[in-house]
Amino acid sequence: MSEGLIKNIKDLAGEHNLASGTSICAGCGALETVKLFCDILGKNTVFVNAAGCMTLLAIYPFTPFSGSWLYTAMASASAGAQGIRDALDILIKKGRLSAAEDLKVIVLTGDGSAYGMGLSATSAAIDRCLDFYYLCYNNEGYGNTGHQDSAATPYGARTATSSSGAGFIGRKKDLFSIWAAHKPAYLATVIAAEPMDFARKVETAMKIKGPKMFISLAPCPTGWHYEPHQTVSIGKLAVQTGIWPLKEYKDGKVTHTKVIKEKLPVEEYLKLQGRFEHLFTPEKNLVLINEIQSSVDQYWIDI
Amino acid sequence: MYRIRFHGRGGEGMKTASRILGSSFFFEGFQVQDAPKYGAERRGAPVSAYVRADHKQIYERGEIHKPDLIVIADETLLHVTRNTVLEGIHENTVIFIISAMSNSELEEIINSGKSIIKIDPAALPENYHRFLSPITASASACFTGKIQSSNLIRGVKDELKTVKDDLIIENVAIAEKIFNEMKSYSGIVTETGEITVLRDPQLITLPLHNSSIATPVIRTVSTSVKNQTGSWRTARPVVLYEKCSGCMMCNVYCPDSAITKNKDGFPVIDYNHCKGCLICCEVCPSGAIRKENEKIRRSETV
Repeated sequence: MSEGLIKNIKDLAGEHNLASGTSICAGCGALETVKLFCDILGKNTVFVNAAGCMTLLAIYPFTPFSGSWLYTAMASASAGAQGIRDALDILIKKGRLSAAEDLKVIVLTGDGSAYGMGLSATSAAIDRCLDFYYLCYNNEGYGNTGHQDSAATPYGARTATSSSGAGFIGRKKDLFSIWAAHKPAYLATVIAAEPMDFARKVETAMKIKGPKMFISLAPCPTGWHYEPHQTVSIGKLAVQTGIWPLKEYKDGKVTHTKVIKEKLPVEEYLKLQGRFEHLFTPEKNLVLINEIQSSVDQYWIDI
Repeated sequence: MYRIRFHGRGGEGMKTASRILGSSFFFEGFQVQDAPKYGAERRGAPVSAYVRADHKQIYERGEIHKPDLIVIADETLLHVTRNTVLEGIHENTVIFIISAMSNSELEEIINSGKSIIKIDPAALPENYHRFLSPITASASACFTGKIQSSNLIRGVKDELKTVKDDLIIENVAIAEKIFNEMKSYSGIVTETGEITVLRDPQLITLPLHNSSIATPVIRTVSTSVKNQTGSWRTARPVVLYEKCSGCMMCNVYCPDSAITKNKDGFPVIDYNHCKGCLICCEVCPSGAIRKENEKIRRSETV
């Protein structure tokens, strides 16, 4: 399946590049994403982290990373990455760093920053063809502060700021299309619950120079209200129901990397999560469930 | 002024407890502050919340450093963040804890010479973990001797108004039960007057250093392993090696890198760091990882 070093899922097992002992929630889908990303990318990395849940990875004097980490404000992680890339390039040019010691620069942000506050700085970084990786762990809300709604919150979900009635009334922003319109070198949606698809995409990106963008759906037990052990099952269901399409953008073309022939009904995904509980009790809200289903169906018809 | 501090782990309901108690005080005519301490709250990580209540306007702000009552919902905190939990004990501080430890064990660990009121989990319903908010809030309300049971119940209902009716009924019932059982301690927690915090600020002018020495820098990699997050667990995954095929799916999906591979190629769970999310049990294709009750396992090891 993959032409890279990771040929089957067992190649992802063993020692990991992200250490244990972080103060991230048990069963965190975002941590799973970052762990996988670090394993595929290797140890020569520097992470530029916008404020968010993953900020808690490195609380002085502790860090799980095997490389450097820089903390920025929510809106400016991509700008921070530009500074680091420039510094590395200058060091290499002056001969103070060998090309073999070069570091991969990765912007790590949640959806609050990627879909909202940080969009402008990211747009500019893609414009400048900055050679960097962008990893957005999308837990569909401002998870670090109690899960208020963000521009990535799905229609109908309950959050701390849309806690009554039908849940969130907005529509999830299509960040993939927004970023694709910038024509970056590489862009993909991924999920840690599908590690082989994830690995193939990161390995593809590693061969390309320029902006390499990843949006990873990160199931969040705390904000989505489900038991931590369900993180992987819910992630798989997001793909099997067609709610989270796995796709990539390369050379001006969008390709779906996992097309599910017999998609499961969205209900299977929604009913496991407390944030959608109001769709099922006290009585089933068929209108809203059908609305969500038909928007998913329409997506797959349109592509 | 009453100054009350709640300590527990994320998910145990200490924020809710502080809000129930705060509302109950409010319905009695008190001025109230109730808030959780904002920081890195996480499910399973140590968290705290506080309540101030007074008949006068409250001008004090921020965390409580001299509590009249310390509520400890999770005894394991005494092993990890003892100094934070017991911070600022003064001569009239009362400590309330839910613990299966004997009184002498508790006194040895806490070692403060202060009155300790204990509820043994054995005396509580089996699913008491789901009701730590009403349990701790109603006990605290009773200890002050200033809150009537009707206002406590109003506080419980007010805080839980978004949950299902039968859950409210269960919460109210357990709050009433604990309130009655704790009657003999009514009034044991007393108010402390103004705590003078205004002092000459004694400002020190720090010299300006350049960022290479003035910015916190971590110079060693992977230091997070020093944090033993194993104490977060309420359930423990156990590998049944007779069933394990060594496929290592558990290792691939464990978010915390808490599963390693032994020399024979089989998974080994690092209990010093495993937070007990149980993703490994769910993804194991051979059903070779069993979920066990952490509390029972821990007491066996002791």
